[in-house]
Amino acid sequence: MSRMLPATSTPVRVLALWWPGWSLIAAQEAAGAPADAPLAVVAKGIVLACSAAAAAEGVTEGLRIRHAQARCPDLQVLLHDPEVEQRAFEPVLRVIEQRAPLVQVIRPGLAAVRAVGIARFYGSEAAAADALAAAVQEEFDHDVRLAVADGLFTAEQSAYATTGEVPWLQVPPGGSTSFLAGLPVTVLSAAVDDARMPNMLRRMGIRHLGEFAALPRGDVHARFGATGLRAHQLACGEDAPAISPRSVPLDLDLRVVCDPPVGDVEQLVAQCTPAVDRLITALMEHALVCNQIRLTLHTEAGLVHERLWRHPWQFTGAELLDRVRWQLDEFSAETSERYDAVTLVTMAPESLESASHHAEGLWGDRPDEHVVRTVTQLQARLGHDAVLSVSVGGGRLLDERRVLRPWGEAIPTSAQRRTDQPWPGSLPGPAPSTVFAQARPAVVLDAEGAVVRVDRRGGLSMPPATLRLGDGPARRVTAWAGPWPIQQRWWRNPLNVNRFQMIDDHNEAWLLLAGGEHWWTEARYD
Amino acid sequence: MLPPPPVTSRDETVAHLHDLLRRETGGQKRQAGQVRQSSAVFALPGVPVHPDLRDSFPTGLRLGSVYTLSGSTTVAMGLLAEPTRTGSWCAAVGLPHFGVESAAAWGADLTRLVLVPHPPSQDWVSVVAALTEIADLILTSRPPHVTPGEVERLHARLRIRRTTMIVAGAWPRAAAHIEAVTTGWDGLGQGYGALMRQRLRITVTERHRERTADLGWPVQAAQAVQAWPA
Repeated sequence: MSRMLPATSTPVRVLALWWPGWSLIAAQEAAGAPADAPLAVVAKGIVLACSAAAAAEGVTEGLRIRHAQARCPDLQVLLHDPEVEQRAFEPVLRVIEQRAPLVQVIRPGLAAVRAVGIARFYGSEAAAADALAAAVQEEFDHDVRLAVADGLFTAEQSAYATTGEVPWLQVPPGGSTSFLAGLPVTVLSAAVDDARMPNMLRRMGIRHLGEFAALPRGDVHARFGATGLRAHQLACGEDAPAISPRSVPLDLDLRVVCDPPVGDVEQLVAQCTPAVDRLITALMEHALVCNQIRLTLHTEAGLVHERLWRHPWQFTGAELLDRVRWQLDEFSAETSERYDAVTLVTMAPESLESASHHAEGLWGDRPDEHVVRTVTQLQARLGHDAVLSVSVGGGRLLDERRVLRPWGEAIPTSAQRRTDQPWPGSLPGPAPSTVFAQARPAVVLDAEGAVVRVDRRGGLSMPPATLRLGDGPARRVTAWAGPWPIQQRWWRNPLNVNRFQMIDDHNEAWLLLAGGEHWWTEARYD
Repeated sequence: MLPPPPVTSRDETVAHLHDLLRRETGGQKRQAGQVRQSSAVFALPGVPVHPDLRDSFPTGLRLGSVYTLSGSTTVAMGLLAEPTRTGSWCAAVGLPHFGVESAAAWGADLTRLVLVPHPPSQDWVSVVAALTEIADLILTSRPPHVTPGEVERLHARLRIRRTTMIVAGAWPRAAAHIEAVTTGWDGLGQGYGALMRQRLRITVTERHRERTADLGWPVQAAQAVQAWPA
């Protein structure tokens, strides 16, 4: 964080670029909403930004969402998503980086560059700002504001001070203190990441940064600690002597364009192979590990099939190509109409981690290379979900408690499996060794030969005497117990059944589910 | 170029080297107190078995042979448990109703278990053969029809890879037969109680010698009524 660099009285000259209402721009582009629609970006029920159409209806920033909807009934509410904003900001940053090196992203919609170098290159700060603004506006039609000042904080504040008519502002070197003096103290809250201190100052009657800067620094430090010291330095125009440029993220996304379109799986895999090899090499070079990849197939008919593939350790080239194969199989199984040819394959690594963190993976050591190879070959032959790994999960029905995952996909964590939660209705004693994936119908009769009925409370009409599984022979019930009620998701899909245990005259023990006069076998103890 | 050694010796050498490799790298983390059997290279210890099943298999399961199992699936789960705990991989082929919780209750390390629930019947032999590459113990349901030639080849494969196979059903040339009969259940009455314990009689027939042992599972069922461990 550059903001935590020690402040000096000679901060670096910074050129700040600011796009007003970036969260709205990004959210609107992501949602594909028209620009003249009444829109509002909302976070935690509060309006963060709103479009001109919404503002004309009386929606303002800081309004509660219900009030905003009352003022403007056809308001489109978009959720504030920092990731979407960051992603939308990425192309803009690339344009800036072509003109000026070392860009610092303060937050999506606000970037900063060192002014000295580009001022020298373009002749003056004004010329540099003009050149940057022109370059950005050529690519993106958004309103951009620029400001040059000493230090990040002052540059940011002066960028906010620009208007549509005067989209660029220059605070002369050494002029920070006089520029900041008139600003309200509340502008500090974002800079020092503490809203309480500026509020406290306001209640103490210190309304402007000028008044705050006039206080003796020692007193401020004693009263407000490190935060106060930092705020006082900023108010006095002192700031970090450097900016911390972002490290350019690696662009590892793959695009394989198939021209002419390819309909055959092996052909497609062959076309993807060089690109995948390049990706794996790039990962190796940067000592990165990728264990999630988003694979998208675009077809001639304009269909798009996207899927996220996970891996418990890391992908190898052959494994990625297997995923392409499987996804194409899946896709052709899903589309009932004639399967058409693929025109474009994209692969985007979703989670990249440094290989050093992976010496011991999150899911334990990656098994022996030999094991992985053998099982993945088997998987490639039989299909992705024909070879499984297992774990125990939470649930009420026994089949739910078996967590079966295609081998090589990450086993869900115990929190996701909810094993540590209490599961009312779970049975004492040994676990049945045979659990039917689908409960099988059974018939339970009493001594008179009538079907045993179970009422809603789990009470039996008569004690069970015979048990018939499917259409097998009747077995005599020698011992039984129950009910253990299972009440599951009564608010959505009411399942109101009771469990019973029974032993028959073959000494086989069964776990039965019963509801009304219907009986099923859920598992066998054998 | 050296002339290739004769086939039989090569097979033996491969088996021997494979076994050495397994001992070196297989992560056979022996528990403290577990007696390491003879360390001579040729007196190979068998596949380890759960302490509660030691009465029936005093030397473990023999490496590279086929056992048939009839009766209780619980015993099959118990036989899977110990190898996975000691660092071997195990596989279960053709068992779609595999009771995962039961295996976990025996103490199996589920991360070393590979499941192929529905192998295509024409691929059954090749799937098992592929799994012999990695697994020390393979549990399978009754296989589809296999020709004598396939049986022969699979036997050779198991012998070379030193993988033990347990077939829940019939198999033409099994080294031993395990019969696990449930002799009774504890804890369930007429409309009260709950199944707490299974009483088993395990008979192992090997070369016309029978060994019979009784087992109660779970062993500590006398403890308080409690839900299954998740």
